[in-house]
Amino acid sequence: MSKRYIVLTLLLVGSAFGLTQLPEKGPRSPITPQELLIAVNDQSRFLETHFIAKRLIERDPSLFLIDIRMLYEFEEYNIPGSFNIPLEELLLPDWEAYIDQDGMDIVFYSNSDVFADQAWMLSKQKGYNNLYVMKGGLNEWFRTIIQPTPPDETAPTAAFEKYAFERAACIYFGGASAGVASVPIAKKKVTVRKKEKKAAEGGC
Amino acid sequence: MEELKRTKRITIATFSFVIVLAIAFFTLKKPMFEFKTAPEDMAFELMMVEQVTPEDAMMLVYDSTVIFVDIRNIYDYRADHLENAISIPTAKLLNKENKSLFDKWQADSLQVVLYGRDELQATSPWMLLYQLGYTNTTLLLGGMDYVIKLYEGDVNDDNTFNVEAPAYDYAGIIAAASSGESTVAASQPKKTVVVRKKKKKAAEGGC
Repeated sequence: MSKRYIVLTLLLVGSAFGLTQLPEKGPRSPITPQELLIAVNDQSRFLETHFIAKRLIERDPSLFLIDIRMLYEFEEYNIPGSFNIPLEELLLPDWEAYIDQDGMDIVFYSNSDVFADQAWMLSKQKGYNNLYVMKGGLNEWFRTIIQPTPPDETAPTAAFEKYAFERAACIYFGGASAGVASVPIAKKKVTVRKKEKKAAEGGC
Repeated sequence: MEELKRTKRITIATFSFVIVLAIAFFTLKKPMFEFKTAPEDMAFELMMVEQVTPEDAMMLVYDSTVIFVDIRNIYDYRADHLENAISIPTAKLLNKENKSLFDKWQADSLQVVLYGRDELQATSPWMLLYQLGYTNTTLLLGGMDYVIKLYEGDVNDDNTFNVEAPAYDYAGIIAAASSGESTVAASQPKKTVVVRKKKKKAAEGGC
């Protein structure tokens, strides 16, 4: 009888040992590598500077801009209304509540879009929603919004309309004073007719 | 008799327990890819990894221990690509056959260099591969566009592949604008048109 117990015990101990040989699991992630690759291929995460400028001017409360550059760079210049989280601090628990917001569109930007895309990649793996990258970053922001170049004379009307918006946005974001940057509008000529003078009537 | 019954029950319970474990163990499916580096760690790794500069790439192309992988689409690859580069478009990065390639390169301790049209295109695929444990992977700074420029001798400043360098003096421009200076090229001075008033005619009439 006791022999049988020993065999059973050995069997259980053996299977317990087997459990320790299970393959080690990597860090848990709410997104699989395959799903992440599909997200990587989706270019809709890149937002144009015009689109962001428009939403900023309209004071869209669902837009949240995150500047991922260093603090001193942020203090030198930042897009009005943006918030600074340096890239290496991005996933610290202190900032989680800022990035993990369901009702907000989180837009990352850096000097260009490479670091911002890295920030997107890191936060995407945490399973956060509504993450975007500003296409071209601050360099593009300055090229299009702060120092826009006028289109060719032969460009389509849409290009001129875009340029008019850029000039207006430029004033809004402090790239130029209103007097200088205003789009030249042809002044209406007001013709004032002089009253014909009546020939002086003579009298004696 | 009572004792025998109990032993029997224990035996059956033990065997069924072991059988369940064995079934679970053999049907255990290991996913093809697993993250080896957590995003928190990756945030720091990003600073540590030394990427390949375009100038280095010109030399490394002929190095047999370095594999260049073109992640652009197949049409771009056919049009123009680095010598000895292998085409793996981003969408097919995690295919079975490509996995075996990456595994093989890692086992042979070859350096893999990803490149795209520009640095941005290769950044996220590189991070993905790196986090999946292929730490022999790097990316080409500047991308194919810059290499073409370099090849054609169209480069004057040797640091222009760094897209993250500020292209404008951000603070300077804004400060200049707010102090009233024009940052935009001044428009041509308006011609002043002098309008001469007509002279009033002397009142006519009278005696």
